[in-house]
Amino acid sequence: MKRDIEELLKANVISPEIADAISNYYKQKEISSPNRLVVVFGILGALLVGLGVILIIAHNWDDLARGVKTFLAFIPLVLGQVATGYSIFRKKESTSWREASACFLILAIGACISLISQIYNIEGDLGDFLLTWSLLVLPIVYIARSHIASLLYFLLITYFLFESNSWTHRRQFNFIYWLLFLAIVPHVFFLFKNRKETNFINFHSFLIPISLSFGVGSLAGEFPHLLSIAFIALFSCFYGLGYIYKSSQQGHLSNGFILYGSMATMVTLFIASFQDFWRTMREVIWSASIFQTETFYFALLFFVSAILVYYYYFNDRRSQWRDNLQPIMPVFIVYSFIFIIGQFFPQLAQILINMLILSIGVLTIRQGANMNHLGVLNYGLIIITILVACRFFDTDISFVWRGLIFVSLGLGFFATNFWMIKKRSEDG
Amino acid sequence: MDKKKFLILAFTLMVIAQLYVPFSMVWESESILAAGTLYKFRTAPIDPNDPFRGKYITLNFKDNICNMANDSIWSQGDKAYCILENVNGFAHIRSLQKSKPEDKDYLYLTIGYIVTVGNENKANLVFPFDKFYMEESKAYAAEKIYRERQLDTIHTTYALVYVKNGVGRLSDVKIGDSSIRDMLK
Repeated sequence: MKRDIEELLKANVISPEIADAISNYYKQKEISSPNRLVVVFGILGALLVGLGVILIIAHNWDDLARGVKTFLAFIPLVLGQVATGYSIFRKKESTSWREASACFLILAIGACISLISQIYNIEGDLGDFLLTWSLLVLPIVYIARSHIASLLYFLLITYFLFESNSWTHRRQFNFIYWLLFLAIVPHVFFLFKNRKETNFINFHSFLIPISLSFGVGSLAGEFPHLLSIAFIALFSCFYGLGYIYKSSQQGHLSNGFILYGSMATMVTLFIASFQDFWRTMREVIWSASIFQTETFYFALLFFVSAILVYYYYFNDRRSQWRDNLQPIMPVFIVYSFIFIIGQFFPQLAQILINMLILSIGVLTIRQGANMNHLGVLNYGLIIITILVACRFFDTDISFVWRGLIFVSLGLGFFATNFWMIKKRSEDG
Repeated sequence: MDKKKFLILAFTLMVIAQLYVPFSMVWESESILAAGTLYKFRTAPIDPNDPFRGKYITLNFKDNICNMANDSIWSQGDKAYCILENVNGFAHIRSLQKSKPEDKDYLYLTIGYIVTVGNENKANLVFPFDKFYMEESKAYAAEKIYRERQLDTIHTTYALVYVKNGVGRLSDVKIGDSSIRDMLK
């Protein structure tokens, strides 16, 4: 800072009086803020002491009486509750206190229950343990207003879903998971609405799609192909939500909704581009009972939700809707039509899906060129490359032709990137 | 009610809920260990290739099979009330029933699988107390001693389980008259 001030002074950018004012301002700031190195070493010291105490206790664990072990098992939990209480009532404005104490309390809850189970040799069901833990974490999210608690909650309910469904070895509607998910929605809604905590928003934007995808994936039952509509509509919702809360400075890679929504949509389309997908769908005996399945209602719910999301998004951008329309946005509508066509003309549906993927690839390349964005341009190229690679698996093309096509794609990659970089240097 | 009072009430309820769960586990377990009936369950050898789990000894039980009638109403995964009896000082499952028994010691167990041997159906019962937790560095040595002693025909290895209201709590594993924990000291 001192060097910068001297440089600015020499270049006559700032006057001596302003230089003094800036120096004094930063000196004051140093005095009032704690020495960070001291804080870091303090935390490290406390951690090491704590770990040392735990190791000494652990070594002598078997020699301790059951009552003593039980008492020790409760200590982290009580400490976590005291710390969280202190952060809520005495350190209201401190985010680090709130988040750190909530995180510690959540881990202490799990540790306490686990230790008690070990002390009394209680054999429990992992799914029940995760459910109990999730229910005990949920109030922390709202009372401590902790976003780390919300993230850990999502991890717990997703693990719970995975664990409770893995035992049945078949898909079934997990009502409890959806209730647990709904319980956290208000917190997530206000987190995204306030738009202040951008890091936490970004973490949630990755975790929520993953959790929900597992939730939807646990459906299926008799009509698994119908899940593809539910998935595509869900991914479209994510994609639209990502654009709604995206700020102008934010890149696509840090926006989990956009990144996940886009990639997951493409993966689903690639799966549907294979002839096996449509052939096996034809083998399913469709009946009126489809309207009684959870899969149908979830597909309908997500489809309607996607329409509402995009209605909200384009409502504020009516005059510039063409500029804001992304290639992936209308996919869920197009796919639904192709799905219906596929019931009667499976081969036509397969061709249409491949054309849809090709169109998305080409439009993405064009968009990347217009935006002067190498990442978007290359994403479009990758889409087309994967499409070609997929077609190698279910078409009989000679190795020579495959080789030539891949060489052409590779040259296309080089040429497009070279052209973009050259265009940048000419414009710059 | 103003916001602060509401927050205090909500926080208090949260703390009570978080303390209640582990405390109720302790209360139930202590109640069983203090007032439950003590049974000795003979253990059977376990697969030596079973990977070392680290923190506990895996127990296998000899008397976890129960005969059933041929026109059995039971299926795999069903829950059953298993009536216990003492045979030569060791626990034995006498019978299964669907309704909760009165005035008898019982365990509420899951039927693992059912096999037909000749004219008889036999149910394999899943005992929930099949893990004996120990301090991590001792668990491996304990499991080794436990496995070796399964082949010992002189000393019987058994688990001490307190039973109350259908729930069993494992308190110790014994080889002869010695606790496995004492054998590691």
